[in-house]
Amino acid sequence: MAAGPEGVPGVCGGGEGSETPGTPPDALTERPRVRRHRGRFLVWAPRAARALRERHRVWGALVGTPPRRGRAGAGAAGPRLPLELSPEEARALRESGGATVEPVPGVGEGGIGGGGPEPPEPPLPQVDEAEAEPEETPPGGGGVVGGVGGGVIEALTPPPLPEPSRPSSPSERRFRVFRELWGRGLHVTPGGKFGGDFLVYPGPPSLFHAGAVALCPCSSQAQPLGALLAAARLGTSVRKSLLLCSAPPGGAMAVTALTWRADLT
Amino acid sequence: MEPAAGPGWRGLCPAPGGTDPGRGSSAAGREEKAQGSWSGAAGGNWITAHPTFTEMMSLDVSDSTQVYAAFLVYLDLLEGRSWHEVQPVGVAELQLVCLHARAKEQEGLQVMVPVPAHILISHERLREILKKASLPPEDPDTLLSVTLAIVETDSTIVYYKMTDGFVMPDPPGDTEDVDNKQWRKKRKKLFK
Repeated sequence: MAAGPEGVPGVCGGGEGSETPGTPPDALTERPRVRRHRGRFLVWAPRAARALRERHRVWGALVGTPPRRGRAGAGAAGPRLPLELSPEEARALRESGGATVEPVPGVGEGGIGGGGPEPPEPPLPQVDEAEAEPEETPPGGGGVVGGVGGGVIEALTPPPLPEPSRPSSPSERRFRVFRELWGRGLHVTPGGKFGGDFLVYPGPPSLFHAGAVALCPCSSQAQPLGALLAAARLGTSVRKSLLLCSAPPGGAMAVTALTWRADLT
Repeated sequence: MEPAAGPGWRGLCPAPGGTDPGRGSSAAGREEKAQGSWSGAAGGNWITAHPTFTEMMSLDVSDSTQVYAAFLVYLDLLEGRSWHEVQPVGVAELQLVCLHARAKEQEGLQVMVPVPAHILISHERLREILKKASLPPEDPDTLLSVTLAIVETDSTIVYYKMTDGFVMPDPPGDTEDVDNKQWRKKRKKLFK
């Protein structure tokens, strides 16, 4: 990953620009601002992206178009802003008060990219647990509130926890595990490349290898032992331990590490 | 993976006094084809007559497949790896036969939990095993751990350490990492 001039890989430029193309630059806000658009969580301001990575250990992914080849793009290779956050990252930031999550201002139901009218935000198919969860949030409850396109902002009241008797959805389990790991001061990124839910880093991912692959299985649901073995063996071959993580609502996270015993081959 | 009710595991646990060919060993299976009855060649099913196997069968564990897996692990540790004081221990709450053993005479006891490879298992069950089968650590700072001994249908055994807790990766700035060759290369590249 390319390093920015001020130490944040992939985020270049110190000047604060506008957060969305075509809008005037805002005054520096204390909290980074995350823009929600069609179920995606985007950070457009370089300073905000840098703050998220340096201060909040939230890495996201740079998803902007790489520069064109030639002289114009000769100096900076790799993807650019915006920084897209995962739903877990956005929700954790919102709940911890580390950032604000707002809809893109001035983008009404037509949305960016034109086309037909876009349905209101809550029913968007991409919306998941970082938004108000329809099945678990009562009408008028916490989470993101407000209309579409009006610049209305989120409320920082956390959504209510699911009833203990109901099994958690996979996204809810993932979020709780993310929050616990992230809350311990670790750096957490998506773990799909190693077949897990998260990759856990002891330090910045640009400087450290991940130490563990975290899985968030439903703790009461039996699964083939062979699948666990495959995950653990893959982790061993890439020098990572496999963490089975369960974070029940309102309870402490239970972590079980599974590592191959190379001394017993 | 072998189906849960596959013939390989059905026939794994030898019937007392029977002529089960002992498919726990693939070599034995081949021998059976080559020389006729394996049990006949070995002079009877010695496994069922083995004192440790009889002891394991008397431990009130109803799952005979797990008991047979435990016996294979016992043989592997004692005969294959020359471990010391390998003792079968029945954990009635878990319905499992575990093994307590020392890798070397001076070393501490380790807990082995033999399980067949084809089973389905939940995280809750793994944690239950960890809590109820593990021995209290001598050092209070040490995390609880047991070793899963996973026995395949061909009697291959693979060992995985299961630890209760987050195995913390090295913190940033660890001297080992600083001295590491890869780290030096990365740093050079980053600060070029």
